[in-house]
Amino acid sequence: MRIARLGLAALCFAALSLGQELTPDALTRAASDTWPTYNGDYSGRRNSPLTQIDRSNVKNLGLQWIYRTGNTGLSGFAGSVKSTPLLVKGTLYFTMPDNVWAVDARTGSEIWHYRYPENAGVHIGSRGVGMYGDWLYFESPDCNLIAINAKDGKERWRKTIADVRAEYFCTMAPLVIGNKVIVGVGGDSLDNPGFLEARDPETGEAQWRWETEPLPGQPGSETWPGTEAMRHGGGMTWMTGTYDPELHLLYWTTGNPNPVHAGDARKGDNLWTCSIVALDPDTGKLQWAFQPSPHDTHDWDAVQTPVLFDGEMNGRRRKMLAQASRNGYFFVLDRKTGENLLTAPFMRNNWAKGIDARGQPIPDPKKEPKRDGTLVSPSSNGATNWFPPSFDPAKGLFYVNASQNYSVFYYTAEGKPEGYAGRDDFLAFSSILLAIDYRTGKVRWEHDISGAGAMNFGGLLSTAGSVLFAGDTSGNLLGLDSDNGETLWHARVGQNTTNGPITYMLDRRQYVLFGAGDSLYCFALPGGTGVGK
Amino acid sequence: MHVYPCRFAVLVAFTSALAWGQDQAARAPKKPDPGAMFAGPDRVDPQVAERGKKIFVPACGFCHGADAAGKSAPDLIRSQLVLHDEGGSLIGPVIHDGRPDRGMPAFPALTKEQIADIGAFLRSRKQATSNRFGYVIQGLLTGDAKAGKAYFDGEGKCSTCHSPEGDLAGIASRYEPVDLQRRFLTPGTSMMDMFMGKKGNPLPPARVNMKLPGGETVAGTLVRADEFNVELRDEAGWHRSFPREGAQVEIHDPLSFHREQLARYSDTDMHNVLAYLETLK
Repeated sequence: MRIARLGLAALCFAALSLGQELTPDALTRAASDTWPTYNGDYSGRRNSPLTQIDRSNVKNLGLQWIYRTGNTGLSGFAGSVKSTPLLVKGTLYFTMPDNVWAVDARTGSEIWHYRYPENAGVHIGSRGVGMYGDWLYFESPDCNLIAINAKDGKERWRKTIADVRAEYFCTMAPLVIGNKVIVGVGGDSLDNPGFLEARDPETGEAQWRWETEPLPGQPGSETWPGTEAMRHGGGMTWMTGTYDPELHLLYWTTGNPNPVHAGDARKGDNLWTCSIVALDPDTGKLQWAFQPSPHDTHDWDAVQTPVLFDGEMNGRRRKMLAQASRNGYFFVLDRKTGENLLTAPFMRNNWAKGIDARGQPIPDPKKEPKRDGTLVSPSSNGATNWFPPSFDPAKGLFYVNASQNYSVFYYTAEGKPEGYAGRDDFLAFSSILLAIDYRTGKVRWEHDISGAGAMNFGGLLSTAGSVLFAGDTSGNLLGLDSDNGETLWHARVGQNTTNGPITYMLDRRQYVLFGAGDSLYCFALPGGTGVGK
Repeated sequence: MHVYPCRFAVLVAFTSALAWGQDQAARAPKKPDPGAMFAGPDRVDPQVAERGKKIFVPACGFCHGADAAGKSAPDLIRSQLVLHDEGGSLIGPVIHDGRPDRGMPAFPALTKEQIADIGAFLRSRKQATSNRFGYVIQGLLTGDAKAGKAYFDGEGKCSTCHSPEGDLAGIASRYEPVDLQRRFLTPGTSMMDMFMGKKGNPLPPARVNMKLPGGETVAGTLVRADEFNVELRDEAGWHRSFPREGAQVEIHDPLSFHREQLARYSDTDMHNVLAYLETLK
C-alpha cells in the first residue's frame, strides 16, 4: 500500500513538474518562497526559516501595499480576512465566505476575484483554500467543494460535501495530501454528526470518510447513552489539520458534542467529539485519539491547531503534538501513540476537578449549564479559539493568543433538548499573548494586547529571525521579540488582525503579510533586495 | 520596555472592555434581530406556523410530540425529509397516504394548504431549535434574597459603591432577570447584547492621569489606550493624545472591581445576589 502510494505520488510529481503547478511534494518542505498550505507547511508550526527580517531590523519595516477587498456584501463578522493566504509562484490566494481572490504578492494588484452565488449557508468565516497542481479547493458556506483554476479563477466543478438544509455549513481550508483533498464540515445547531472526507482532486469524488462518532458496537460507542444520541452527537471538523509525512499520519481535531449545552442528554465522554485524532491518510481509519474535553457542555471545540514538532521531553527524544485548547489547557502528546506527556492550564479555569490518568481534564458536573446559570471560566468563546498559534522549535516555545474570560451558562431546553439547548452570556473579555515552554507547560512570558478593544481574533507567526508577528486590540500590527515578548515594531492600521500572518521571500526580499478587517497589509524592509543581511 | 507590568495590564484590559462595549453599542443594529447573523434566510411567517401548529398538534402530536421532537414516532425537527420539504412537496404524500408499514395512518382529508401550513410549523420548530438567540432563559430566581443582601453588604463589598435606595432603586423593574444577572456581573454592553440587538447603558468612564516626560500633568476621561499612546478628553472637553513613552500613566476604572469579582463569586453567591436585587422593584 505504502509503495503504491509513493509510486503514485512520484508519478504525479513527474507529470506536474513540467508545468507551473504546485506539486504535492512541495507541501512536505518548510515554507520559504512559498506558503502553499493553510499553515505554511504540514507541521502547523507557522514558524518561518526566513531571517532577512530579524529582531534587530524589524523596527524598519515599511508598508509595501494594501489590498482592500471592497464591497463583498458580507457583514463585519464574516467580511473580514480570516483566511490564511496561500502564496504560490508569486500569487496570493485568499478567501472570505463566497469569495476567493488572487492577488499579486509583489504589488498587491488583483488578478481575479471569484464569487460564489448567494446561498443559505451560515456566513461566519472562511479559512482559505487548498491547492493541488493548478487547482484551488474552496469550501462554500453551503458546503460545496469547489475546484477553481488558479490561473483565471474559473470554476472547474463543485461537489456537495454536506447538506445545508440540515444546517451544516463550511468554513475550513482544505488540506491537500498526495492526491487527496481533505475536507471537513461545521455547524452545530441541529445535532448533526461530524465527519471528515478525502476527495479526489480531479473529480471531487469521495475517497474515504471518517465519522466523528462511532457506530453502535465500535470502540467509543460505550461513551454514549445510545444510538440516537450518538447519531446526533455533533463533533464538527471545523479546522485544517496537520500531517506527518514520515509517520504517514494525519492529525485532525473535532468540535463539541451535541446537543451543545445538554450534558444529561448524552451522559458519557462522547467520543470522538472534542478530540485530537490520528488517522491513516490512505483510508481514514482511526489510529489513536486523545480527548481534551471529555463530555463537553460549554461549546469548547478542541479544534485548535495540533502542532507537530520533535524534541526532548523528560529526557527522551520524542515526536510530539501540542495543542493549546479552547478549554484553557495546554496538551503535549506523543504523536506516534497518542500518549499524553503533559497537561497544564494556560488560563485560569473553574470547570475541571482535576486531571485523570490519561492526562484529560475531569469536568465538574456542578459547572454544567443550569437553568439559573453557572458562572464558568472560560466562556464558550474559550481561552483561545480558532486563530492559529505558532511554535518555534529552536526556542521550544509555543505561542498562543489567549483570553481570560467568563460566561454564565444557561440550560434552556423544555422537553427534549436539541440544538444548543442553552446559551451562555459572555462577560468580561481580554486578550493576552503567551509563550508556553512545551517542556513544562509554564508561561515563559506574556504580553497583554487588550489595549482598547478587549479581544483580538488573530493568529501568530514566528520566524527564525526571532520575531513573533501578532496584532493587538487597538488596530496595531505588532512585531515582538519572540524570546521575551518585548515590542520591537508596530504599525497602526486601525483594524485588528483577523487571520494568521504569513511571510515569504520574493526576489530575495522578505515580506510579511497580515489580514486585518477587510484588507491585506504587506510589509518589508526598505530598499529593495539585499536589505537587512 | 513595552511589556506591561501585570497590574497595569489588568487595568488596561478592563478599560478596554469598556471602550469595546461603547464602540460596539454605537455600531449595534437599530432594529433588534436576535441572532440574525447565525440564522438562515428562510424565516417562517409566525402566523402561518401557528396555523400549522393548530393542525399538527391534534393530528400528529400524539405520536410525533406536540413540539414535533418525536415520541413514539420520529423526531420531525431534524428529519431529512422534512428539512428538504418545500411547501408540502415531500411531507404531502407521506401525510396523505400514511406509512402503513411503519404504523403511520393516512390523513387523506388534509388539504394541500393545511399540509403546507404543517410544513411551515415544522420549519419554525427547526428554526426555534437552531437559533439559540431566540431561546428563552427563565427560572433564574433560585437564590436566597436574605443571603444575597448579606453578601451585598459584606463579603461582596457591593455596598461600597451601590445602594438599594440610591442607584439601584427599582433596578428589578428595569431588567429581566437574565439581563439583571449579566449586568450586575459586568455592567455595560456585552457581546451577547450585541448579538441580541439589545441596547446597553452608558458606563461611568475611566479616568486617566498622566505625568508627561517634561513634568506636565494631564487628566481626563480615557478615550483609548494601547501600549504606545493614550487618548483622552481633557477637563475642557478637548480630545488629546500623548505617547506613552517616558510618561507615567494611571488609569482608574470604576468597573475594574466587577471584573475582578468574577473570579470570586460562587454560583450560590451569584444566585443569591440576583434574588436580592430582584426585591428592589
